[in-house]
Amino acid sequence: MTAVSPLLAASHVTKAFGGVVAVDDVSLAIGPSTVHGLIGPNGAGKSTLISLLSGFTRPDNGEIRFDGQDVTRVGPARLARLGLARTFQAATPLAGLTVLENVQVALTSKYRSGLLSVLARTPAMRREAKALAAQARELLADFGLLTDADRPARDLPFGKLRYLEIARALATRPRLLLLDEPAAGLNQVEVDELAVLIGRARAGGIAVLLVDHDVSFLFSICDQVTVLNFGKVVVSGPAAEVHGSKLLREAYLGPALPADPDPPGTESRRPEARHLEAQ
Amino acid sequence: MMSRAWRARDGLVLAAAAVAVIATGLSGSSYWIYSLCLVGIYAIVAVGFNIALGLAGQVSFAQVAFMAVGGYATGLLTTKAHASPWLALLASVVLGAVLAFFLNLPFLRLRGHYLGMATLALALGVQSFAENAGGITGGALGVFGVPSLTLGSFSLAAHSRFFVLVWLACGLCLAVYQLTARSHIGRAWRAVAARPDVSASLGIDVPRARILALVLAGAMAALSGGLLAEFLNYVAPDYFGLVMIGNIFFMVIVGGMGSLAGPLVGAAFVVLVPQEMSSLGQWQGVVLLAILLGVLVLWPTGLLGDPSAAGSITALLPARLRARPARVAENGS
Amino acid sequence: MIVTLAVGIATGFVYALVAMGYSLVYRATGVVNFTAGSYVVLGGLGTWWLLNQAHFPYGLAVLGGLILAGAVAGAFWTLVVIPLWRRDSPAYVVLLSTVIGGAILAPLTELLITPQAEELPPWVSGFTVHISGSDISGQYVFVVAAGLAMLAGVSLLLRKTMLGKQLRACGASRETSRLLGIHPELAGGIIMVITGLIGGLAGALITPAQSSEASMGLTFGIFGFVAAAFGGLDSVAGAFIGGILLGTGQAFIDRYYTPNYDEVIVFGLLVVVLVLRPNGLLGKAEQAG
Repeated sequence: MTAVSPLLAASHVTKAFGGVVAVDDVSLAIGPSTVHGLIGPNGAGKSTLISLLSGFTRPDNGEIRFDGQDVTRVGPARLARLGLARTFQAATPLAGLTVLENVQVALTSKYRSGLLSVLARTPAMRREAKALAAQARELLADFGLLTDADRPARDLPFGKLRYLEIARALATRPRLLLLDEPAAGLNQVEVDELAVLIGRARAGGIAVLLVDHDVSFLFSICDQVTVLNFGKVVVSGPAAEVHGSKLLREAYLGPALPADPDPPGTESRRPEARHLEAQ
Repeated sequence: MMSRAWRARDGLVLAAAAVAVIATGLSGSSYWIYSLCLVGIYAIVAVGFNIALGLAGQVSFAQVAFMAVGGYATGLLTTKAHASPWLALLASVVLGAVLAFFLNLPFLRLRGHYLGMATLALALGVQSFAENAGGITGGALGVFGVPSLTLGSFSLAAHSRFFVLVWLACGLCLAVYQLTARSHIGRAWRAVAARPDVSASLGIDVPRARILALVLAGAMAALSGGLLAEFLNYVAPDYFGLVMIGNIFFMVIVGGMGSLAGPLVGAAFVVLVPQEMSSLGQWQGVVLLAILLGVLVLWPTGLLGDPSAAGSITALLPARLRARPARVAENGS
Repeated sequence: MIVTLAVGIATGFVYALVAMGYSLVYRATGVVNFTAGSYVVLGGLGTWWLLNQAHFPYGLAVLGGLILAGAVAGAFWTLVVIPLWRRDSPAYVVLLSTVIGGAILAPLTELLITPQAEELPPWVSGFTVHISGSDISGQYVFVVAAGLAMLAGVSLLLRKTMLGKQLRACGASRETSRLLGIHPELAGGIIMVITGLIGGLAGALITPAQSSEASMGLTFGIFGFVAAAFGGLDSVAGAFIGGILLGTGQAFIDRYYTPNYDEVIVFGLLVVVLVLRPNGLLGKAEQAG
């Protein structure tokens, strides 16, 4: 655990649906400028936890603090304005809007002009609109989407949709970016690019909470990792420690199997992943 | 988002409409001037609804209720309180906006069907009240003798003069529509219409965006109702029932949701087509509604809607006969 | 007072049957069908026409009225809803089309059948029920009995038969239905026809007690909708109970308060219910935010 006070801290958070406890007394702390991974088998409670952390669901018990502020019952819009952004598991381009407009929409809360300024077309409003449009274009350029700016967002190929998803979230100028399975469906080249992107975000002072099934990808970029299973935290700590931990293997493979040096997922992606063991 | 093609077509129709309006104004034909006065009045409530539904995706059946509020407020303020017609009109618009704010507030949590049902109940309730609260609203007979507008000694009672006012008001509403639609406000509306959850995660205040759209829609509906009252010098509950609800939806849907000129086309259709039908006598109502239904079925995205979004007409054939497999899409909320 | 209650319950049964129609169609197809009320009038007036203009024997006339209502329902489904579905129209366009459909059926009935209010002869002549000093038509008993029978029949259909289970699955998603081998368009059509038949029967039953008129179709449609919304669109039993409550409530308000504001009160109550419990009083309680 870092000595710096965490950016996002969940304490003893519990959420049950009907009779099923999806998240069971989970505590998690994400430091600033850290890439924190969240993994676990299907049904481990990751989606619910993401939903809780991003304000889409309220926990039954426990507390969530963002930058020291209690945000347990705060909704997603307010959280976004406080600096917590997220992407969604399935790419969610906003239908009926162009690629550029998708990013511009993320800047809505940055506009100071209200209805009257818009109707009167004040110089201040026009300047603001121009400046923010330029910012949106810059962001698109960073992600290689500038040439697609005026295309309908839903026409983008899958890989670009993922980038749009992240570009949009970054447009809100977050301090914490929550990425929900960003690598799913990407080819190896795209996954590598994604890793670079995440590294740049961290370098830019943005903390990242990364949820993914691609274990090798996750461990290659995360500083800290939390493993979830059956709604509980199985093990949590620096990536290297967790990677070598028996508990991680047990979560995926079950207990008491001969040691398998290749956790599931690595065979299909990077046969030469063994270098990870050396960390 | 309007593609280039769509925007071009929209602009062309708008220009044609402007020409038609000016030509009519100059023509002196009392029939056409009267008709286009009505078209202008209907277009105003349609533009308002285009903001609520076409941009922000709010399926509200209550638009007609605010039109009734506007009509009755104008009618009653002028006849009972002897207010000046201009003041009454202004007060009606403000009242429409305020009521739209408060009445839609509890509905914000409702989605899809439920919003539709609640607003429908509201609209029918308002009409029923107008019909039955004889003491206040004059009951089924309505309010007579609503005075026309005057500018000092210059009376606007003549239709040819009222025509100018109506189309100025309509132009104003179109301007409001266009300015908001092209701004960050309009983008936020369209985002909320597409995915309110994603919009929230991007920092958009979803309830605020919705209410803003509904308040603008309500204000325009009230303006339309007030102008109607002063045009006909008469208000009655009949105008604000299921038929008008159907008309309002029709104008926006068939005109083309999210387009600028769409409501104009829809309004023209709704006003002019029945007038051509008057020779049918008893069958007028049926034929008209049948035409409405037919157009709805054949042009679901509207005559001026997004051309790329229209389902092809071959979609009407049974699945076996179609070359491509059926598109799969669930009804959005 | 008991008389008011009795008549209210009986008319409530008609609303209940219409409401049941709404609920059935909604559960099977997700469509809110505003033509539901018109079938009552079609059944009643269709029977009248066959009886008085075509001189059919009474029983056959009733059957004919039912078939007319069912056929119109099926036609509407095929000619309007199916094309809209095939174009992936949004739900509110389909809703609008049923509103227009309901609005069209009234003048159409007026022009093709009769513009006047008409009555039918009672099913059992001279059958009256004596309640607290007054005689009311025994026809109301038939309405209640038939209503209960239809409720039982529909519940059995939904719960026990294969068709019923398939229909319940349909509403969840058209895609899922297709995957399950159910043809949503056909299933929807069947349900619509059943709704028409039920409405038509209700019309044939009530018209001997209260005259029917073409314009009442929309009124039934609106009240049936309110009843279904009260009870919960997705609960057939709830819609039914909603109808009875509505009919009874309306009768009492009319008798003891004023007939003028009964609609306003009803609509106001509906708005309150929808805001507080969008799924209706008897619908599923949990609603995803």
